[in-house]
Amino acid sequence: MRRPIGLLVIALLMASGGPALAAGVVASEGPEAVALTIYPDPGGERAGPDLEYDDSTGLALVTEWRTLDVPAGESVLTFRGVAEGIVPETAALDGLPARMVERNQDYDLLSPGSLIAGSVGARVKRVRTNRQTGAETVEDAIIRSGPNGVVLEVDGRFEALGCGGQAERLVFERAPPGLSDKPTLSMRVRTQTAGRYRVRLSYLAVGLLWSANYVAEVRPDGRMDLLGWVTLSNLSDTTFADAPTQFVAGELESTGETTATEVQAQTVQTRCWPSDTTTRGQWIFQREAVISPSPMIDGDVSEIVVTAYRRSENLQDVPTAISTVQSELGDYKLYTLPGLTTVAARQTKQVRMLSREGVSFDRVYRFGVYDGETWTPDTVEPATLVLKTKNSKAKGLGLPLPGGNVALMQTDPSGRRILAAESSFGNTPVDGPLEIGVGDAPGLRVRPRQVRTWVRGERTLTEYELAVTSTRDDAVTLEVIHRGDPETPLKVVAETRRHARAPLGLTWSLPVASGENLTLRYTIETRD
Amino acid sequence: MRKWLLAASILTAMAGTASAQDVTAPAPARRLAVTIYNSNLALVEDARVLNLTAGRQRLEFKDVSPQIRSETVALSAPGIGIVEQNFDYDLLTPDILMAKAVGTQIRIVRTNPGNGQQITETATVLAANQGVVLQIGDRIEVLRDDGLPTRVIFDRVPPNLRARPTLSVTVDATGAGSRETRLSYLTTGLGWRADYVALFDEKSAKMDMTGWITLTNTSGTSFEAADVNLVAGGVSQLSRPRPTTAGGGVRSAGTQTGQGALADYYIYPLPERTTIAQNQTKQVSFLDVQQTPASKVYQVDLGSFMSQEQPISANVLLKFTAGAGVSSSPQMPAGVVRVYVRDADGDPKFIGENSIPHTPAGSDLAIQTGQAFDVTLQPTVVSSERISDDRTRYLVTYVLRNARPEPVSVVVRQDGFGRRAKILKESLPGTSVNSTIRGWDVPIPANGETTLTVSFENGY
Repeated sequence: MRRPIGLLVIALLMASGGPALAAGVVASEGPEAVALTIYPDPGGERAGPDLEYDDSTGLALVTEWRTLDVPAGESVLTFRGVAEGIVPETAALDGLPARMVERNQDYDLLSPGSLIAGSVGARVKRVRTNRQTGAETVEDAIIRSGPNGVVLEVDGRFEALGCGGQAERLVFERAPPGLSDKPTLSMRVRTQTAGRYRVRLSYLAVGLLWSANYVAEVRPDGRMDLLGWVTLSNLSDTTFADAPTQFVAGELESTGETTATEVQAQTVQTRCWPSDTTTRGQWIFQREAVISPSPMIDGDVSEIVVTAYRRSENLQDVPTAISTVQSELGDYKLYTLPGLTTVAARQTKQVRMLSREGVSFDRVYRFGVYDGETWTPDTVEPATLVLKTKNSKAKGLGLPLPGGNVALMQTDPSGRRILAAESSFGNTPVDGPLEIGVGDAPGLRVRPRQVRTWVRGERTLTEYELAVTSTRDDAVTLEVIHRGDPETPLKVVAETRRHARAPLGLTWSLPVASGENLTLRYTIETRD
Repeated sequence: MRKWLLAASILTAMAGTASAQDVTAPAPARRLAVTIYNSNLALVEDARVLNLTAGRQRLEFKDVSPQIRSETVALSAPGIGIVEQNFDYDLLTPDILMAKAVGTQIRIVRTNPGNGQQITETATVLAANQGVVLQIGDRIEVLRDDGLPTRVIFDRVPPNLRARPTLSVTVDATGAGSRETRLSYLTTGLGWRADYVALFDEKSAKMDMTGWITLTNTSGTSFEAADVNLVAGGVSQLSRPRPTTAGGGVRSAGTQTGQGALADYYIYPLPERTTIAQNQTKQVSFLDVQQTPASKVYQVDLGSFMSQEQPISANVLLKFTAGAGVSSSPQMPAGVVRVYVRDADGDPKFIGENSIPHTPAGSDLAIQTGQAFDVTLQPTVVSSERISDDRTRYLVTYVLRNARPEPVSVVVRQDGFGRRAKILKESLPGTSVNSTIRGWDVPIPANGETTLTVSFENGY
């Protein structure tokens, strides 16, 4: 559903500007084609239907193609139908052989408030309706003040608008110049030769973001099927129809200054005189203001968003079989959706990013001790389980994995598919280590104890004891990891098994047979 | 209307001693100059020819910025003396109109809810506190006590109530006739910054850079066909601006010291007059350089000795020299640099942004655009051992991985070396970056990894 394209050259309507500014306006109503490159949210938000549009969430590069009939000389090109979240200072125009004098975004919006503000001193009609007879009385009036409390001059006398309780309204002859329905992007250019040009308008916009989600299915044979999804959210009210769509995976630096213009339409306030009475509460106050105070635009938007999201959840695209194609973009990864995609306003969409079957991985059972830690007597804590592999072809992976959340699914002996854990991992390059934390390991428990601590000269010695109990029906290896501040060297002076040094800390690898109970004791020496 | 004019002229006659006369400044032959500073501040100079009468008179300027800092207003013209200047912001609203009507007569028009008939009565406003108390003939009533529609008609508006804040200056002119007057003031609501677009080509190690001046106007008024000057520099230097002097006043302000004062100011005049409309973001190009040298650098900065379970992504930095290839105004005013590279189809794609401070020409810039997906570093403190009371021996390894199809080089910077640190052995030659930081340039083969091993004694 492409937008109709209207191209017209109209005289500059704005009364503002001297002769230097007199230029023809070339209005482009909307893009003929649009392409999207969507980034992860710079603030770390994850895509989903529970996000609301604001001026800084999300980031996308929008590229539009438009055809313009540009006369020779100076003209003002106005671009309507741009994305709601446009960051105006990032707009760039290619394909027009012209000198760019300046580019502007105007966001003085037409609203009841700006209508009154721009009509102060102007002649309007005040129409009063008799509620009983229905008769209308039309009078000439001059707006003397507004929009924060409107005062009218009628027949040389002064009256407030909307303070008397009668049915009255204002009728304007024209809207004040220079007000628009939406923020408007325009460029003032000078061209040598008139002609029809196909131009490319590109800009950054907020309101679009994506994140990666994975479903990891642990199979009965001990391998894992990994399915990656792109979750894409369009928080804005702009629909991008039939757009080639790409996603960038990586960590971009951001300044927090790439934000959409925060637009606040001017509101009307009824600053009426005090209205207390001796009869308060005896009648229902019926002030029939012709223009009631309009709510802040924010309030309006959030209301729309809430209802629209409710709708979008139903519309949420069912994951389909199409898959993305991955390529390189500088130091990031670029994913391209095949074909064209319509990204509708306030929509969350999911597309398959990658899938790998039969990934081999190691189950690593861990128990962590922090140097100096003590426990309540008879504390029993479960060991934790981490699924560990390498992002390599040999392990069944070997492709860039954008970081995201993982739902770890498992089939229990009765054939039921259950959610075992929810976890996450960061951007993982090819051949990088990949770890998915599962949480508490079933059937493997540790009773830790700080046995004693004593001082020998400038050295402090501490003895630890860890009693391991397995109720599992398989043999596993438990890693006991003792870590401390890297600036404070730790020295093992006694141990019942040999330790190793790993990035995580001092490590004891304990093979634990099914149903076995065993105990590890070690003594650590530190010097102050 | 006539009554109001009469009342107004009586009031002015009482205020002025000589034959005071209101002169509302008209628009023709107006020249506006706006000098905008980085931080939400602008100096507005408004020159126009006014036809003055001899003696004392009041000049009203209705089109000044509503965010005017009225204490900075200065009006100058040949042969006039300033008597006083006022910024009136007592606005005309229904509640103030009623408050000012206390003690005077108004008319109320009540509508009969049964037959719709209207009855007009004259009332005196006794008070307008919480509710409006009226005297109608010999009765005392509260306005709209019965909740029925009641119009209130005021015969006049007090002359000092206005639709929008108005600046007025009472002057004493030595003679009649038209002359150029110059009004200047500071206002908030106007600001500017620079936005840069860098299109980087890694293969040729070149970059195209365009710079835009981005103006914003939320002052509440438009500045039409104005000469615009932009001043790069903080507002802290401008503790006592002299609004009556033109452009040059800014340079003199630059000699005043302040926190973070810069040695020099840069003024960017816009090439032609422009209209800065209310609620507008305006951009004008000021920099366009093609094919200037630039390079990409991978860098990891480690603040302390540590072991990391998960690899750390290398930072990606774009290095270039400010002002290279630019002849006029090569310095770079503070702003945001947005970096793009071309994708496989040749379309520019955004890869990150960073802020730069006001940067003199010739400065070497290294701005971080993001983190590399494919280049990582994993540090491990393999061993640390106390060898004496104040010395520790460390063995640290850094595993650097490169999943890219071409070899890369990573700058590793390790902080935390003490005054008495001594390198025992390192697998690649390192250099001292400063007293506490040691740096290594680590080459990593394509799709490969390099392990940097450093053993040292540290002491403080």
